[in-house]
Amino acid sequence: MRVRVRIMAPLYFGLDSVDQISLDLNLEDGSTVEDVMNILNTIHPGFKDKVIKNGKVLDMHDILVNGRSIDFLDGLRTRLKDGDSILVVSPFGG
Amino acid sequence: MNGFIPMATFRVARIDLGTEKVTEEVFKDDVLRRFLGGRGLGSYLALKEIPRGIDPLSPSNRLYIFAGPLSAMVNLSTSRVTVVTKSPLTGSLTHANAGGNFAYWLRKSGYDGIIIEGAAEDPVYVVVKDGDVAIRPAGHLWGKWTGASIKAILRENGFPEEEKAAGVAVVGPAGENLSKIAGIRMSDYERFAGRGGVGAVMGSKRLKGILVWGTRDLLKDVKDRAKFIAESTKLAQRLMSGPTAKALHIYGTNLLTAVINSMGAYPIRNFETAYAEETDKLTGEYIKKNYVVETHACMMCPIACTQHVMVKAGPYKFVGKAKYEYENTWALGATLGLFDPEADLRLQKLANELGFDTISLGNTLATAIELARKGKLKLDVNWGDAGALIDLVIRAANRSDVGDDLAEGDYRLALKYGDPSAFKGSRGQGLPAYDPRGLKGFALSYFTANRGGDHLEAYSPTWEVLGVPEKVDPLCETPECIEKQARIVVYAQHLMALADSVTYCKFATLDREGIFEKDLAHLFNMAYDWDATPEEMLTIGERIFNVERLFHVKEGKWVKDELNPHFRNPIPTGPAKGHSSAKMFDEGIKIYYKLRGWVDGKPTYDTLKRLGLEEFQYLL
Repeated sequence: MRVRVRIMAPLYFGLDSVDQISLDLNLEDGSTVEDVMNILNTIHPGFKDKVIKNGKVLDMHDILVNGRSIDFLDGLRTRLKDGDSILVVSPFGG
Repeated sequence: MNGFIPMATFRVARIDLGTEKVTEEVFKDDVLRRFLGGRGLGSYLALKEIPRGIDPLSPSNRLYIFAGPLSAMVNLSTSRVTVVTKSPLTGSLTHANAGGNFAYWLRKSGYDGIIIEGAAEDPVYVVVKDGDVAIRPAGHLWGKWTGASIKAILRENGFPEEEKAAGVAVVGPAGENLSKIAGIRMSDYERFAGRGGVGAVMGSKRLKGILVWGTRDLLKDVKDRAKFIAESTKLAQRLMSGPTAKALHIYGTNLLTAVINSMGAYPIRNFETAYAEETDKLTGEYIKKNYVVETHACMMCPIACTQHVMVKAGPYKFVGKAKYEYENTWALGATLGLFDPEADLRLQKLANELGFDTISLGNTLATAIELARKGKLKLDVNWGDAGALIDLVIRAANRSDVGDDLAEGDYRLALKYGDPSAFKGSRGQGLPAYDPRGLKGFALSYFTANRGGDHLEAYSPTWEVLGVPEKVDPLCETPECIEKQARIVVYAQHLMALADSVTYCKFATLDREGIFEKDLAHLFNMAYDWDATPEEMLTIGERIFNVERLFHVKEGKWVKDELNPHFRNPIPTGPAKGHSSAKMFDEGIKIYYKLRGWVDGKPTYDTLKRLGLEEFQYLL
């Protein structure tokens, strides 16, 4: 299956891009949000620790799957399906 | 006077532009500890002083331009000023808050607040320098855009044309021409007390601008200066250790476009839906990469979130830099069906120079397009039509032909052309950049907000996304979720009233490492030798919120909270498809009233008594 992943505010996460990072990933069926974070961590070493600590998303950060926080789905174990859209959310204010 | 201010006092210059009489008033602990300054003290005085039923654009209206008792004393984003008045847009009380350096220089000038009464016969501006107030002719500035006006006022008073040099507040053509959606621009730079048409009130008094400057030592009367500085520095360091401050500093407010659109709560084409595929170039990240030229800070702010942009070439290029924000980008972009970032930024620059409240300007243009598409308003404009929109903004500022209707704002436009459903707001003021069907906390906070159409009296993404003080599912409608939303909205309304009255920036309340009631009590106790508790601080916030509601009671206007009927319809597309605000509002408002001690939007006598507001019982 194929999912689209976007990382908001890359500079905030210490990544080398000003604009959002967007990539399409081919995943095995049954893959979870945690699997996606592991893949992102291989592409951007250390990235996972900037979002997740002790198996939980950090305070004031979030991961959305099709616009829903994984806090209200199945957390990092949330299973993905073909065509899903994932957004790694930085803190913000407005 | 040489700037000597005893402890726990709030010194106000009351300036009658009709008689040119200036009087000084000093408020002390007995009033300050009940209302603080800023929005709280301004609302209290407005309730007592502004006669019922007056035309907001008549000389009888008053402008309360107030800093707070901690403004500009600590490096905690405290240079914020609040303007309180009877709104020409809503016909009842409004408050509008601006950052920048005006609050700092106002307090340095020897005053903590300015009250403008009456009206001048010919245009004037006011200069306050180290306690001396002068009223100067401004006929030569009338008609000038805001940026040029600030420079001219600085130059004429011996300052360099640098907005850092002094605090300056001005209106542009929109305010001069009494547009009900005009704001007041504040230095430094393109900061606005935007909402409620406060710029029109200033224009109605033929007051082009106010310059404030001085040398007062704001910490002179703090009991223990070294301790106060050390403790407040610790708080500033804590605030800066939090992740929201870091993200805001790097990208500014417009990170929100990606989050809110992804959640399906980003209003598109006058709230027709709440998600669009084509928002990539409106995001904070894209604009940072392509147009941001510098990051800027308000005075006394460690966060420094402001992003200045330039569009240097192409059909939408403009001269100089513009301050841009999430709200502005939405109001002059997505809600107009406009997704070209350069046209959007050009419109923002134009709105700032002409002196509009960008949110209400966007609401008004979106309403006009909706009316035109329905055939109710004869106007050749469509979604995303940047050229026509630029033209309409200029017409609105000058009140030329259809601009005369646009200058009246979205609410009156929709009513005049026979389609109230085109107005997407509350209490006569249009809504900001969040759809309350996709972030249901706003179903309560928007429609109970005293000033109407407002996200800053209780900002629900704080708990619905950031999880502060606790995370609440933005789409949940179980009885538990509704009760939780009502409780947090009430709490947040009190905290936000405090922020606008202390004064400090609400961006310091988004983070677990932020500044909350406990920290405020600590700061006041150190500064003024009070013995306030965090609970007392929140009670001050509640008292302020009730005073504002009493203004509506006095006017007999907007007392009962009502959900705009549009938001009973489900969102037609996007991630929050099928969701409406109906259940959250209909069920939540009952809990909300119970928590407040209100009946149908009106405080009871027992509530007034509990809050020490018996002096207003005659209004019930």
